[in-house]
Amino acid sequence: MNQALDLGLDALSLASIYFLAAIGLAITFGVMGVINMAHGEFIMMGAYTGYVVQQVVPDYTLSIIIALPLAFAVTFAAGVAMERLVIRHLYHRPLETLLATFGISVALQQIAKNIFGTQARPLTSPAWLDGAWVLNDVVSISYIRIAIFVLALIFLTLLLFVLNRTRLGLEVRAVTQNPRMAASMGINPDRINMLTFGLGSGIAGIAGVAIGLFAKVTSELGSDYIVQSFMTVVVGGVGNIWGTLAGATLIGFLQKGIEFFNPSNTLAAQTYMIIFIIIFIQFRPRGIIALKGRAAGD
Amino acid sequence: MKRSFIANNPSVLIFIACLGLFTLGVTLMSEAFGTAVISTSFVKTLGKTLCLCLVAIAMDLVWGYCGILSLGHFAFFGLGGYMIGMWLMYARTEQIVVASLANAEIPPTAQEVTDAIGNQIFGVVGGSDFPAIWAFADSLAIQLALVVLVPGLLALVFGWLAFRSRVTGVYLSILTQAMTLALSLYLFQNDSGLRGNNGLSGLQNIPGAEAIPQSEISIYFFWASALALLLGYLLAAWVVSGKFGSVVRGIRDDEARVRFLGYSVEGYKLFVFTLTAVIAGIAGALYYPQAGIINPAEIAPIASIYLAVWVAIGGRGRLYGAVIGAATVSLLSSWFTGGQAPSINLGFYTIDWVDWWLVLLGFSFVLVTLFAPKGIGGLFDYLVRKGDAK
Repeated sequence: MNQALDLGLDALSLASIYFLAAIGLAITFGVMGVINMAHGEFIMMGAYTGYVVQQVVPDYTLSIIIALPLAFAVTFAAGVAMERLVIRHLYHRPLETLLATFGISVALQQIAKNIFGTQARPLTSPAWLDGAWVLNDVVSISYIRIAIFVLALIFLTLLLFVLNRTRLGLEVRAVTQNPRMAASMGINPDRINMLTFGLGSGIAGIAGVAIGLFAKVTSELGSDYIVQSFMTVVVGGVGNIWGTLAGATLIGFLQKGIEFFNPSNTLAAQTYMIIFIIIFIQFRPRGIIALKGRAAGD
Repeated sequence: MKRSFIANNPSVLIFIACLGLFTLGVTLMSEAFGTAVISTSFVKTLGKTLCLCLVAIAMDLVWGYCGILSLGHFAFFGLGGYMIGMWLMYARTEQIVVASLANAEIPPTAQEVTDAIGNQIFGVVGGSDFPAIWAFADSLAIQLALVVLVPGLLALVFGWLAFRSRVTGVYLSILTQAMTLALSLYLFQNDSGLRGNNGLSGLQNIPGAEAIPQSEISIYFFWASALALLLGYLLAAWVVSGKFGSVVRGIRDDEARVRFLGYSVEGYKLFVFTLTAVIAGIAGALYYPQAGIINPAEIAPIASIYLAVWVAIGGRGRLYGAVIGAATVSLLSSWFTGGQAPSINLGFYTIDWVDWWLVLLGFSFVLVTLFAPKGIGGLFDYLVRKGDAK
């Protein structure tokens, strides 16, 4: 029982990490249909922003509070710049977006390597996040993981609110479904696309700070998450936030479950999980929560 | 009247001529058979480049002609390399073991020899028993067959599953990327039976050819690679010409319409996907004996994306484009990262190309995608059109 609870908590925290990493992608890929291979590098940029802030502001609590909005701002700007300069020209050629953004990803990764070097940089969490919440001998969970879980919840709520309850969300959904019709209703699709892409990228930056707190910050940080993030979005179902949540939960629990049976070998767990996903997509090619009707497009 | 294959494909003749001249030139400048202008290691680099051109042709066939952006073809390439590498490593270790046991007082039994080989090969990952997948490692013929069969079967099964459920476009790309990631993660494990992240090494030592210096072996492999590239090019040109090629291009341009015309789209796609996987496997089997080492990092998802990058830069949808792209980018890469490119001193900062080459490559790739979607090959079109206009 205790063991199951411990496993469940582990799985939940892994799911929230995947969710955080993938949620920005769910917006750019899921809502806009843009394959952004540089998404992982936005995560990395967020993590490095956190590191740089810690170099300037020595107080860890304060620096995290500064780093979160700053990371959002940096990656938001990067995302908007990328959308304006590159992706805008490729909306009708999705496969080429994949390649162009891959080029950006390679370049950004190398630039980060040139600036920060190849060794891992520390992103230290504040003291009050150290330690763990111990229920008993078996069940315990570190505060960082709880914080990430809470952060994931906040983002879920925030995004659902923005997309479903605000003017911006309405316009985003309108442009997603039919850009020309939206344009004739007085919405500027260019502006909306730019903002949506910036929003997705900005969230990646914040996810980067969160991930940096427990993982090593290297220039390859992003590429470790990119394939998993895409799979999370695809498994969950492209085009809505709930789908990403479902995908992240499924993948998180699945991976921890497989690890439970073969604890020594996380690589094997990942391998089997990917194989499972490949087979899963055979049966639900549109993901767990599939869009129906015209919005599904093709 | 039906026109001949060559008449329909004038570029094939030009390609054969260029490849022939190139091979001849390199041979005449090599250390083994010529004036020794080119070092043995550079001959190997050129031979490897030819193999990369071959896998680029495969990629062009599946992406440029059939519209499947597969991010898994470098995995097939790596699998081919692993298959030949198993034999190379086994046979070479066997020789060493037999030689070292020859002086023993009692002649070693077959079991002792096998155990010693196992110890040699798997000691590095803390094992000594041969995994089941090494069952045929002592037979060159079977491993050569596996070079074709393993990538082919994997592509067949994967492609059948994916195409059957109508996974298309970017979803298919992500799915193939997932397959590549799964494969490389699997191979990274120490108990995968293929020596984990150590990979297979010492592949440049060809068993039974110790007497032949590396300078000659490198030329033989160079010839073999050139021949394989030639055959691959001819096969690809033959496949894309004629009716079959038209259907394949039709699938690329409008899959649904081809399906409504009564063609079995899935069958065509599966055939192209499997065929190109086999070509990639053969290219890998030629590449890794020249590289000398193969490890799971070689087949990480990023390698397959680079493959797509080469084809895109060269110009997809034309076979010579793939060859040009792969050759240009991989040779430039090895030039820049080899530290031979001169650094640029900006006064306040020195651009060292070892560090900045990937940045340049990344951004130039963005520029190619944006402004020259037809790649370098599009340049030829432009020149030809200009020539016609005069």
